[in-house]
Amino acid sequence: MEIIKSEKISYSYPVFEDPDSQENKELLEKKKEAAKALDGVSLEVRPGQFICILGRNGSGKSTFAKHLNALITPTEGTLWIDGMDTKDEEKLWDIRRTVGMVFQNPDNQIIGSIVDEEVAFGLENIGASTRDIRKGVYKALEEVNMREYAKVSPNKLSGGQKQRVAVAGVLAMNPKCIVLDESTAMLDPRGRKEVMDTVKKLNKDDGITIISITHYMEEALEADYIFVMDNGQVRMQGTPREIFSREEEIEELGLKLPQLCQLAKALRNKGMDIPMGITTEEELKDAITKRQISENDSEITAGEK
Amino acid sequence: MFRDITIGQFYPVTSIINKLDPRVKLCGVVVYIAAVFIINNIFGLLFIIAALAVLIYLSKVPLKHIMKGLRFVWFLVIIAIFFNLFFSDGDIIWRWWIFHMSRQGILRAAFFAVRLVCVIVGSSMLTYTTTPTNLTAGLEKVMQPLNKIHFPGHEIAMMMSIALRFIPILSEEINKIIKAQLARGADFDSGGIIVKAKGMIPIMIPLFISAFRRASDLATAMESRCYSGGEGRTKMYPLRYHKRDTVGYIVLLLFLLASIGLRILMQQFVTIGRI
Repeated sequence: MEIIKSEKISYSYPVFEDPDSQENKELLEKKKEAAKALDGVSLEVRPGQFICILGRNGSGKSTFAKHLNALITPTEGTLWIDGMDTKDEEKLWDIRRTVGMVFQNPDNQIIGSIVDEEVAFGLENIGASTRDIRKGVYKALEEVNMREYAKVSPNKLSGGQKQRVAVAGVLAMNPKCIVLDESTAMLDPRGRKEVMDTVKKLNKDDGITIISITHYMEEALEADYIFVMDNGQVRMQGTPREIFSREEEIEELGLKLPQLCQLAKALRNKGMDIPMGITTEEELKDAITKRQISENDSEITAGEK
Repeated sequence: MFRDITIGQFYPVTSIINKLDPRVKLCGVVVYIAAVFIINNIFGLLFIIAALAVLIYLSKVPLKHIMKGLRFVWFLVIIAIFFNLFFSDGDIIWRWWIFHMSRQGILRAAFFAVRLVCVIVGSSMLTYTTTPTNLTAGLEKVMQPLNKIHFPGHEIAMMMSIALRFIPILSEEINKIIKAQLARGADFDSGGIIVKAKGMIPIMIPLFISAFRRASDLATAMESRCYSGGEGRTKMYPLRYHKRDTVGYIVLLLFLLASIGLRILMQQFVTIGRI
């Protein structure tokens, strides 16, 4: 069964309607159109996948992320999380335990004033016993490699460490899926790497589904599957190889190619024979060296002739 | 400028007072303040000072640190002494222009100053010896019975702990905003008090906007982690009474009885130094 299955979900942010003014009907229609953040999004995610959702600002990717945790529910269409309809209010807490969210600003999502209390927050909310809380908290801190910071104030941590604590807070609830809503956007490269390494490990070792919403293309290269959103719709989907072979389309959607693909493209434009859809440094290296070898070969053969 | 607020700051040492349950300490503050106003003679005064000295000794908080916290209070104390000293009626012993000193006035001034300092030091001992988390947990527990009359005890405790967590973040933010506005040519140092106050507006407005944004983010984050108020919530470190807490309550009771006793018994023997 899919862990996430959305069927044509649409969402519009509420628009304030002034009952007295009538002359602005057209404007109101326009406003309503602009408030439409999601427009018929259908997608499926299988358990254990590492998914990336890409899209420029205002493409609806964060709105979609908020749906996954039932923070908002679709105005049209249906979204199932692990078989539960997000509109079903009785399942609300189960859904929030199944899907954990890590947000963008590390400071604005830490509630506790000591790391271990922060990690315990979710478990305290669902009424776990004191023993289970302690066990869950320390296990989660162990997994994100923050065990030695259990008694430290979050204010003393670096951005990457704070985000790892936030991941631990989600992890303590034993989720099947973790959604990173631009969680690395405010971090320096080192912090970004710390967080990504941590979630990659969780994905690999514990089989937790990861949905990373980002506009860092480099992160997308390592995903299992990519969705590209624009204007509230899913415009492209596929493996990184498939997505990044469609170079023109990516750029049309307001996204930059990953540096690796930019390099490949530039080399190709200069007349080198580099295949489309290169996603790792190794591949690019091979493609370049292969070409050199074949050049050398042809030189040798030319010399022989 | 917002970093040197020492009232309400925990002093990290391990002491017997530190380990006490926060509920005992909260009760202790109430009892102590009550005792300060119950006593009415010189022996009582010495008694509450001695009690405070023992408390400070046991808490291992250095006296210097406590005095630092009193910085802002001295001004208040001096004003109170001044008015009690020079404007009290009674057996006048000295007079000059509108000022007059009386025997009762001197006593009253002394009493007032000692009481004020005792109350402030006594209650700040609570925050010196209790971590903010412990303190809010204690308050929440103490306010729990009020839930029956729909008093939002849990919400208040949650607000306090969130406020405590965001004080350093917001103070950092203020510094950032000040620098940003200075870089745009803002001037915070010249002009009279009104100009200066107006100059604060470009600091306060961005700060408020940012605080609201943070609040909204935080609310979303709390909701996504299943927060639904205090009902059905458990604790990782629930408050539990130990033997020392029982001893603490007994000591408090004895202390209260002793100060009442001092007031009643000494009434007959002491006529000097009573007010």
